[in-house]
Amino acid sequence: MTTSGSRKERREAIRASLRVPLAALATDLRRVNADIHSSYGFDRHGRGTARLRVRRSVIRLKVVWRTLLAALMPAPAARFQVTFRSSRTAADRAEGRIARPLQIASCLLPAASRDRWAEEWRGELAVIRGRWRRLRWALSTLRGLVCQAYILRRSTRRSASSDEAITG
Amino acid sequence: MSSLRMTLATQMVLRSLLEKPAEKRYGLELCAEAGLQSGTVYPILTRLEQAGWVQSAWEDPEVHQSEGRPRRRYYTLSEEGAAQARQALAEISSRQARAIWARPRLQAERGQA
Repeated sequence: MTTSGSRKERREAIRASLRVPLAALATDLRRVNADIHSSYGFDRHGRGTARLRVRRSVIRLKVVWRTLLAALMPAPAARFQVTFRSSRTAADRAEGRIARPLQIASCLLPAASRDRWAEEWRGELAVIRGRWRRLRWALSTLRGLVCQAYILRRSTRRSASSDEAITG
Repeated sequence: MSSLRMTLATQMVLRSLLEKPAEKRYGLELCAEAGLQSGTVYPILTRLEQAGWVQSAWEDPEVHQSEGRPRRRYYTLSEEGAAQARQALAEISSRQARAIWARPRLQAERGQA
């Protein structure tokens, strides 16, 4: 997530980048306005020159308009006021949507080893880059979780029964 | 130490662990080295750990904190585990070799009969 400080800085940068193109746009608008007004007063022979002048101004205006648009829209994020994250941090990846089903499914494991495995999987998820890769990894882990739960529970049961046998 | 079922996947994990027995490796690294999926590797690691062949420990807190990610669990082969794994893999490979040599002889015997 972006902080308010960085947002403010970005806004300031956009404002600074807009100053020059806006001034140029205002000058050109004034010129075009003058050209259009002057072309009305021309006689039949002078109309062509006036049209050419207007066209030139319009072309110049288009260039300025494009510069202005580029300054206004440096990225879709700035245009729609959405904060996209270009690169997710390791912590984001570890706590993302894919980590939640694993967290829930870890309930299948014995209580003693639940947190340990959940933390280990979070650590692994943080390293995997790419949503699909993470998803594939999580699905595979979920598939193996049943087997893992069986192994861990069996050993827990065995140790409990051996303890009972020792205590009598 | 308990006897382990030496499936092909277990053998692959053990072979990748035995390549550098002293080196600490985390689950994802082992998955990549063994060429197996996480759903296969983690139950195997659990079994190996329960059998005492593999030891696991959490990563040094300074490392993961500096990298800003949750801590990893590192796996290493214990000394006894490494010896047993080597022995088990050697047994399997000798058995396979015997099976390969025995096949033509059996076929020849069957042909004579």
